Amino acid sequence: MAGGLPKRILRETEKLLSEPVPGIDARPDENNARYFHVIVNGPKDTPFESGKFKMELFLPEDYPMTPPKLRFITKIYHPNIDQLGRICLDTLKDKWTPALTIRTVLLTVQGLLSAPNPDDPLANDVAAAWKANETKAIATARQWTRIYAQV
Amino acid sequence: MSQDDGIEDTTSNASDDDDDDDDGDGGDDYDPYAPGLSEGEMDSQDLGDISPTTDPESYNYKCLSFSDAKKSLESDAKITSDKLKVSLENVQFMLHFYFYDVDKLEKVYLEDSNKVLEETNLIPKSNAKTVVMPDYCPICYDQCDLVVFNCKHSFCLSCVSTHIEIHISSGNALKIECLQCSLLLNRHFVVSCIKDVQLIDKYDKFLLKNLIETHPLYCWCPGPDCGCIVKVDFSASKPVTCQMCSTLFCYICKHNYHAPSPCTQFKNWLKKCQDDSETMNYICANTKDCPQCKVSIEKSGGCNHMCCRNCHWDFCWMCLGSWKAHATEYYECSKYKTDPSIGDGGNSARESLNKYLHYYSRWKNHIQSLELEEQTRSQINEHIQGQIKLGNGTWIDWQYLLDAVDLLLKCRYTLKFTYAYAYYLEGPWKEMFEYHQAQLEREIENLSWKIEHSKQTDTVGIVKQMNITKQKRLTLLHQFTSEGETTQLKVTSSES
Ligand SMILES: [Zn+2]
Ligand SMILES: [Zn+2]
Ligand SMILES: [Zn+2]
Ligand SMILES: [Zn+2]
Repeated sequence: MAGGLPKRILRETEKLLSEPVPGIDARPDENNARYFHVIVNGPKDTPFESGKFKMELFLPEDYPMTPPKLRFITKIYHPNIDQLGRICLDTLKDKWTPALTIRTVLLTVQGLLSAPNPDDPLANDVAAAWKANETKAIATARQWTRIYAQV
Repeated sequence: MSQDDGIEDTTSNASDDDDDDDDGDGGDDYDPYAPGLSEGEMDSQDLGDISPTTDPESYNYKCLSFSDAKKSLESDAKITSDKLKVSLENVQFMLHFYFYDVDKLEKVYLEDSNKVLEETNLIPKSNAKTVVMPDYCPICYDQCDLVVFNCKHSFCLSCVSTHIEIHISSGNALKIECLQCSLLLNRHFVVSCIKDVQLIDKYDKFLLKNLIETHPLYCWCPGPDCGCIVKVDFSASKPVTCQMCSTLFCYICKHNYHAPSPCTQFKNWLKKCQDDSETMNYICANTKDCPQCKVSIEKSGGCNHMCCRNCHWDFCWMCLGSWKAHATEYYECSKYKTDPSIGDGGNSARESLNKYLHYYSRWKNHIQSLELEEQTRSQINEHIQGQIKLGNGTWIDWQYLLDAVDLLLKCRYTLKFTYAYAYYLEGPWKEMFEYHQAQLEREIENLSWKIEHSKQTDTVGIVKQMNITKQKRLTLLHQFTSEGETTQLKVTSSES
């Protein structure tokens, strides 16, 4: 499928590069236009502040009919993100509609860092810790940010 | 439409006595719940038991083909459709959304039809933002002719078709939504977007499948590769035998039918057995030493009354105790006794393992007996064929013996599950249960012994033993499968 990149992906990529989402750097891989290297800055006033989180994003063949595949590469202590960096986000599952874009997905991820939701957990142990003692959990998250999220 | 042929719409009653197996071939395949054994009818006054007036396993259901199930669902919805003046398709969807609570749907709809249509996404949300018609498709960004939906969202036909195809391929036909909001796309529209006839066929199959999977009164037969759909009058943990593939299953949990154990308990039991299977393997051994002369004895029949060929000692295969004691006190074998040598609260881990071992070994043992008795059945069948060929009686003269094995298998099947049930029981109820269980067990072993030695036993003796055993089984089921349990399960199943 050489050169068969859909107009939609081309346009989205162009727009991401010319008008990036504040605090997020997303650029396609040199060899694969469907694979994006993403760096998300930890939002202010959160335990992830000053951290730089590496992510990978992949647009499957059916995109935008099916959602992008997205994963944290950097270790992160978050109730909705598991050890493999997989994210529990309904936008990436049943709430996906083809009208959503890479941009909206990245914004949602940023929102998840600002507002962790331990009631809808993916990492059950983290979520349990978060619910049992939020102060302690936030301290752990901050520590992880300091140790792992420095590019 | 290839699935439509061959399945007859016959009504079956799990415990109906409509024995039509008189063609003389006797058949080799065995089904413990196939109609044929009349129960609850025989004279039991002399047994001194409470005679159940109703059969606790009686259950009405139909086995339907794909097209019959479709018709059946439509005729269910037709009444509501006429009443509410809504298309059949929309009523079916609304019923699905209302968990088939017809009364509730009709009431709410008559109060505020728009509210229902909106919450089920059959019409656009009234509070939705007004949509400006774009000059290009918002999905592929191509400038081309756009299809406009009722929600005013618009897309190119190619994107809409791809969207629909992806949903159908993933097995979803019931909830195909607009590409931008949750408005449902109806069948008429969906079909108009698909060119591929095979895909339309697939769509219709999934549509029915999606409806059946959530319907409390319909289910797919869990038999391997069986496309049969079962319709019941009410949802309960009762036995269903598929008329297509003869699979016997519990309507609620679709596992092997498991009375008297309730569904969740049986599931826990299965899981426990699976988790502990390796440590338990040695129990399943087919050979044991004679407790008296220590000669190794292989179990060949299903009967647990063993007689050592070497020293002629009669003993019980399960507890290795003397069989003589069992004739009066079989009770002691099935009942689990806490070891008095272990103090209260002493070694509780060992105690709980012992307890599990007690029930598991008996459970496993009856599975083994069942297998062996199924072999016995075919041997008896052969024996009978031989006798008939020799002019020794007719098929009718021998039928009682096959009936006896069938009954034996059916009772043994239930007995097996009583150990899963008893494991979880506590208190005085447990003592009651274990009394009945022991009664049943004793009669089953008597029947098994009589059948295995049938060449010497008289017809009258076997028939008498059959009546006693039948009655014991019914009594146990009657007392320990309560209607309360059934109702509770019904509620749970329609909520999930
Ligand atoms: Zn398009
Ligand atoms: Zn829409
Ligand atoms: Zn079947
Ligand atoms: Zn069940």
